[in-house]
Amino acid sequence: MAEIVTKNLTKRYGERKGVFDLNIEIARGEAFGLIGPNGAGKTTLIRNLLGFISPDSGQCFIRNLNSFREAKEAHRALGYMPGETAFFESIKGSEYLQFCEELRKSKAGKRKEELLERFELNPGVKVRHMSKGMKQKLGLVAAMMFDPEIYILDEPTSGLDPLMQQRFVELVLEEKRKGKTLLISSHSFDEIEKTCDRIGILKEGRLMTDQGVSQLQKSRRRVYSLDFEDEKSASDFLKEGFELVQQSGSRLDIAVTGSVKPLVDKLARYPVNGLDVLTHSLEDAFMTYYGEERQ
Amino acid sequence: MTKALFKRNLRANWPLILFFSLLLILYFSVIFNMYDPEQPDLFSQFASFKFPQAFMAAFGFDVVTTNLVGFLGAFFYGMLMVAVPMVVLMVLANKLVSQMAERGTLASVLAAPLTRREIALTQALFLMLCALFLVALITGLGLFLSSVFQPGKLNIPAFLKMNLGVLALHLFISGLSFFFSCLFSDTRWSLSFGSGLPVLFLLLQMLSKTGSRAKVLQYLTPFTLFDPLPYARGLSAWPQTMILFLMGLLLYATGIGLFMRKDLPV
Repeated sequence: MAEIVTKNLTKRYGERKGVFDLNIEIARGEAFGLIGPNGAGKTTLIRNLLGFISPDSGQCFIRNLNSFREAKEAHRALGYMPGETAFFESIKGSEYLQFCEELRKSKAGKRKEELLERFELNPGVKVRHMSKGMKQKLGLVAAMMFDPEIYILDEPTSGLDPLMQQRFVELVLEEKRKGKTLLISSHSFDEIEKTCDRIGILKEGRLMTDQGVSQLQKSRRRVYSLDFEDEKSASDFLKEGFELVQQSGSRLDIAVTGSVKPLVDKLARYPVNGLDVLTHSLEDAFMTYYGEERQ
Repeated sequence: MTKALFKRNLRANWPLILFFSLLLILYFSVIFNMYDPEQPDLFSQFASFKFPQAFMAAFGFDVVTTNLVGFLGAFFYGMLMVAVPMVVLMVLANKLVSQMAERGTLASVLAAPLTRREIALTQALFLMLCALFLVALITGLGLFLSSVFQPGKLNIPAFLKMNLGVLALHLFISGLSFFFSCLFSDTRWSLSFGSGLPVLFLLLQMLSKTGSRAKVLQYLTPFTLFDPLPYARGLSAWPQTMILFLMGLLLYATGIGLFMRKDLPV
């Protein structure tokens, strides 16, 4: 059986709030990215998996253990980071980590020091005086320091600067190489694309799509911005039959789905000064699911 | 029981417990010091304040018993020893469960390999031990002060029984607050009920002592089950003490049961 499983999981908070009939299976060694806007049900799903709330119907399991009824056993293998960690008042970072160790009755040891170093976090600071990013790092260290088999991370990189986001991506990739299982929720397609094998898109509590990253990349629709030498070659190029997104003078924004080869082949015969990629694939995929909301 | 959580509670709450302990010690010592066995008509002292009798009675100063247990019972256990620990226990009960759920600090605890039962039991035990600590502190202080300043004047078995009675009352009060703290994840509600009800009960008890017609109010408040008066006369109140004790335990157990099943959106 897979490491993380939901079976017809339903938790209703209103007509379109909550999660509805979710079926997800995340196999050992797999990294699953969960994407959706605020209120899509990401946190509700994660709370169910942690056993903080119990489903209205359906079930969820961590390693074959019922998330709610067998939470104690399930949590042994689990490293969890909440969307926003709430720390005790007037506690130092190091005291919080020690508290986590005491709760687990195990020492994190060298791994803790190593993580603190990699995130460049000084744990001697009181949590009250920490910035959002520092708290986020502290939460990450707490989730990762026990070297768990399964990770559930709720928007792990929000508040982190780009360098630290990069460090996080490196860490996740290392964990994946060790055969760990990960569930990561995020707003950032970029990060999910870099770290995850599979992506699930949640909308109004329902799973709209669940597919591999490579598959998504195949069907990716990218917009290229082309700078031609003059307006004439630009309008000539248009006759080649590519999808036009926007035109301004000698500049064309062209959309291409799938392979970029046809575009490159045709482009070779035109005087082009510059070429830029405008949007990322997953945002496009995302937009097809959220398009109606925009309108 | 989870040692780490218990320690955390202690770290977070010791200033509150210390402050109210000192307050109790201070009050008790002052009142103890006022006892004068040569001038047993203590009411004349208080009468000189010219308070209306009903007003005095509301605050528990209505005993004509002249021994030390009666004196302490009237002037300390009638009101202060009920109200002061009550405040500590109500505040703590709210902080230990409901506030942790509301602020989300419970998340780190819930995500650890612990059962809900272990978590709830730890918080319940911490609260019960606080009640026990405050009563034991004053019991010890009473025994100590009487052995030094009023040797032979304190009827020790009666004094101990009175303290056991007040302990049972505090188990009941803290159990009530704990129950509401487990029931509501919103501190607005847990505070309103968990503190509102004990305060209401106390007010009813005070009112019930103000006159014969108000006496009917005593049936509306469980606080009536603790009365320091009989102890001074060498009597016991085991049934009342047992009822408070059992009701307290029942409230704690129900609270733990609720906590084990409830949704905690942390």
